Amino acid sequence: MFLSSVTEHGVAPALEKTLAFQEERLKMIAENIANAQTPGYRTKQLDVTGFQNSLREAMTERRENGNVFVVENEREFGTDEYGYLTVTPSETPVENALFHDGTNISMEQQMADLAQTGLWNDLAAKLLQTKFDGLRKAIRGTV
Amino acid sequence: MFGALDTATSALIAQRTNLDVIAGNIAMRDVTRNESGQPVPYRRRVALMAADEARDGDVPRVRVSKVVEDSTPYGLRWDPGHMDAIREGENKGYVRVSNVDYHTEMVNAMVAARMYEANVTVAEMAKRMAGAALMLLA
Repeated sequence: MFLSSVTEHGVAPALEKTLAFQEERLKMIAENIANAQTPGYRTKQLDVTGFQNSLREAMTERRENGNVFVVENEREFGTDEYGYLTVTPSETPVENALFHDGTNISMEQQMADLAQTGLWNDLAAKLLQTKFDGLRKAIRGTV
Repeated sequence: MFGALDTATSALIAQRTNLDVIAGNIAMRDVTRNESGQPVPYRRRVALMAADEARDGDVPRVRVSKVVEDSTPYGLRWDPGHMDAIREGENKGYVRVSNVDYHTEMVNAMVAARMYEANVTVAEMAKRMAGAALMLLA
């Protein structure tokens, strides 16, 4: 109980959810790129800005009302009964003319998203590690 | 955790198969006889990709669902001295040749190589992200 209250404190839950979200996003991008030549395949997308807004709302909720940190259920993401993040990518709407084989992939967009996912993941992992390092120092009582 | 890696790997395998088919097309372009020795030229083949829907607890994958023959008509090449030249009719003196076009095959080979590279990049990213998550335990 004590340890969970320590680890649930501060930004840790938000960072953890970010890691989980970016991992799911990586899977989605991998699927999109893998299917770049699959006839009729439509790329999938995840609403990153929407997710980050949800994180902010959850932080505000916790600070102002003392609620547990929960990502509200939206169309593309939410929280399951055990408190884990659930992610359901949606089909990217067709913006431009389809290719001959009925696909709508923009390879440039996918590669940019891939790089972005990696950077977000690095950031969240780094911050989480810093937090854990701080906790460890506090437990040991030495620097 | 390694789901993206599996997806990227399935695509690498599919693209390699695709490249195998393209290599076969280029190699067989000048083949004018079939396996039983009849003067039926080689037919160009195309690898069809298909998305495997993710089953429970598994990740989505891509695979070459089948290799189909290209049904576009054979070409004709003027070569009356050829053993398989047509002996009579309006195309007398022509040899039926395969419907493989080098340019198309080379462009497709380049696309396959690029797709392979893109999936290698995804695999690298998956490794890096898994590495970052595992470092949290250290």
